[in-house]
Amino acid sequence: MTDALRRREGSGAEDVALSDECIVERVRQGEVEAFGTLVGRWENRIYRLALRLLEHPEDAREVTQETFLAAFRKLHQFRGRARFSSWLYRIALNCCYDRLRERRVEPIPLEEAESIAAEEKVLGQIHKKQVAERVRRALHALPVEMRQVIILKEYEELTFEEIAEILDIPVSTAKTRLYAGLDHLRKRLEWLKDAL
Amino acid sequence: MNEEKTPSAMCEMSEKLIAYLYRELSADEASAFEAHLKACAQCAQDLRDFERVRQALAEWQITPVPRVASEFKSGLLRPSFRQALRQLLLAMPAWGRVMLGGATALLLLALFNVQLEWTPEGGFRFRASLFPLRAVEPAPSSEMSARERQQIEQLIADMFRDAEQRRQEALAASLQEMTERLREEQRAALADFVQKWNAEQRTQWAVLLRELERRRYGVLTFADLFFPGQDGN
Repeated sequence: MTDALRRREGSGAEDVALSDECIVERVRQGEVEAFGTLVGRWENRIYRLALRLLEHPEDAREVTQETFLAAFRKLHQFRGRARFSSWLYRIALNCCYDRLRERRVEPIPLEEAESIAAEEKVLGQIHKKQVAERVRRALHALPVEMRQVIILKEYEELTFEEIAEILDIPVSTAKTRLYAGLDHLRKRLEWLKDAL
Repeated sequence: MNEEKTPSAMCEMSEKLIAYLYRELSADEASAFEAHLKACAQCAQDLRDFERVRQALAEWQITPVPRVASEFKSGLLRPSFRQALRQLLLAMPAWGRVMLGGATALLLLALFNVQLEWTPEGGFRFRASLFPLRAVEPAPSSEMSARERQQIEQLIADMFRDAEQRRQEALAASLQEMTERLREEQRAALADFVQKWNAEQRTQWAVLLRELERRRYGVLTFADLFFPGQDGN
């Protein structure tokens, strides 16, 4: 995935030519400015991931900064056994979990979410923006284990193997969590059936 | 390994279903699953529903505003105070965190003037306030001793006596002043009376002498020479 996605993110030709691991090696050898290339290559994706998990732009921005600062400081610990992207995502997710723990936001119970959905259904025509807002709320109501798998798969377009590597879980567990998450969303977004 | 709690109506091919949904099956595996779909209404329904959910999920898009790269390149990437504090705490050893926590707790206790007092009954009393506590003055005893009462009464009596003395002195001074003024007025009136009386006496003597002279010596008398203009006419 990573090469194709990297190209799509709009990095320069020189950046695309070098793999993340090559740049990491150059940074380790003292070429600190090369780390800026990695930041430019991944910051959008890390920011989007953080924003989808945290839902606060300022928190997402801070988490993005924290992620790259932590990655820069721990770069000597990166052994290359996993992909750099997986390692970076894992750092970002840990930063997000810290924020979520600080906030201690409880997920909305499924029954409550369904009653809210039923009320909203009678409001009439649903616009695209409203659909996006309902999707955001439905995702927010999911347990974080399901939410992160859905975000990594649906929005970050990672493979199940990559997700399993990032979360340090078996591939089958990643698939089961995704199934369970989609099953919850099916119930929560059932009222959108006619709008889509 | 699968430690996750799975939905109750989940087909055993659910993992294949998820892989098929995201196009992660090989061609052979996809063909096999499509054959399964024709036989399994549950999977077919799940597939339709999940595709609709994915369609809804696709509506939530985010347009990020990347700034981190430029800041990093310009050397401006600096952690916020909260980030720095968190990183400091993470970098600290456990004993360092304990010491910092203890110091913070002591600082807060000092800031809020927290006092812990042991009571004679064996318990303790906890007090805290934002401002320093002042030494509490003992409440006045409801039972006053006889000596104190006597002293207070003596003080009050002295006070009244002094006031009366000052009033008497003021009255005496006022009376003396009034007497002096009356005496002066009487003295002045007496002097005036004596003066007038003397003048009248002299006039009468002059008239008498003139009359005597007139009778003795004729028209011009000795009295006319010494008392001119006092002829009584």
